[in-house]
Amino acid sequence: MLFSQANGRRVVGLTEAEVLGSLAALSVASAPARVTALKLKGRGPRDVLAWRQVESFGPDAVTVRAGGEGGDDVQDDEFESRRDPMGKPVITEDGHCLGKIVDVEFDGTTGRVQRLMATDEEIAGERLLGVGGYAVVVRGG
Amino acid sequence: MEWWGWLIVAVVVLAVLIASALVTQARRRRGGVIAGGGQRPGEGERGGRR
Amino acid sequence: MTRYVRASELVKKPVVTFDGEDVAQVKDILFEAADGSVRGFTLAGRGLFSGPLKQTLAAGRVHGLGPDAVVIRDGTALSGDDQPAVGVPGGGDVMGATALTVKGTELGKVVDVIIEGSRQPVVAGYEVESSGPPRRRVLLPVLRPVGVSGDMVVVPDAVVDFAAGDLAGFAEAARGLRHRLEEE
Repeated sequence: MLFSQANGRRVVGLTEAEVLGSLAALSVASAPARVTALKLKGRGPRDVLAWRQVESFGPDAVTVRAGGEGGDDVQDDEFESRRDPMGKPVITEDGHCLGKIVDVEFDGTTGRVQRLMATDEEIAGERLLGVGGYAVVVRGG
Repeated sequence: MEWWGWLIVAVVVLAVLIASALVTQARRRRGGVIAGGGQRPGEGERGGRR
Repeated sequence: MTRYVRASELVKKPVVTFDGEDVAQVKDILFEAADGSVRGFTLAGRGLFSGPLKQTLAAGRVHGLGPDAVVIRDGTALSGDDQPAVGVPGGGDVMGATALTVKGTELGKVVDVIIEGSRQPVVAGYEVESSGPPRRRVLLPVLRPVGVSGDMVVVPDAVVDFAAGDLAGFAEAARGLRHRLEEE
């Protein structure tokens, strides 16, 4: 699943049976590289969902179980936006820039990040060291 | 002077202050390549430390 | 991948943690005149209004050093209260110093310093602009300068034979000089 394809997809709460918003951003953590949270755009009551609330990444909608106080994995919005890799420069551990992140490929079931697409190179998810406010840092030259 | 005259003066003064602050901080952030004297205590003397 | 980085490219480059945060930027590069080893870096803040930082970064704490960033494991790599700061060497800034050979030939002004970025970064040479005319810039591999101060860098005469035009040629020139020194 490419983020560029999933971006803007409706996010539907299963218990409420209503659209909570549309997918706007991912938050990515390392070791192992995985999506930890989703950011939604829309007028819904919550705009951040933890990955474990996701039921399925369907072709027409992302279904989630947003009911209850399920969002305790997610601390605050500021934390989330720091971990959004899109558009950030990719820096290797030896100080070279590989361009900016243009897309992220992840497994819709497990949330594992398989590949990070930078402008100059495609990077395997295992190489991810971290995503922060300034850059995405990856292993290898 | 009209009231807006003072406003312009205030804005200009503020702009100058901000610009000078930016310039000084940029200058303070600028660095160089600093050579060491090459001697540490106990290593003996090799040339003069400046 | 280029192993060599110009000091001017390194100055102002962000210091980035594995977590992807830019905790500081490089201000000065401090090196040991005797063997060229880079001791560490003084730092400045990243913000538009921020000035120099008290914290320094010892060369041994650097994970990787390249043309786009200095990478460290985490913020503890910077000197804090628990860690001694990198000592400020006694000499001056070699940028703008005069390059002179042992036999007394003035080569020009030092306009840049070439740093070999590896586990232990080393000053590998100098970019010198001849006072001309015509003004031209050459890269001189200098393994061991005879003497270095903020005013002057004294180099062996042999380095002149190994002047390179660019960083790509510099690697070759440095190898050539090393080879020559081993023969002697």
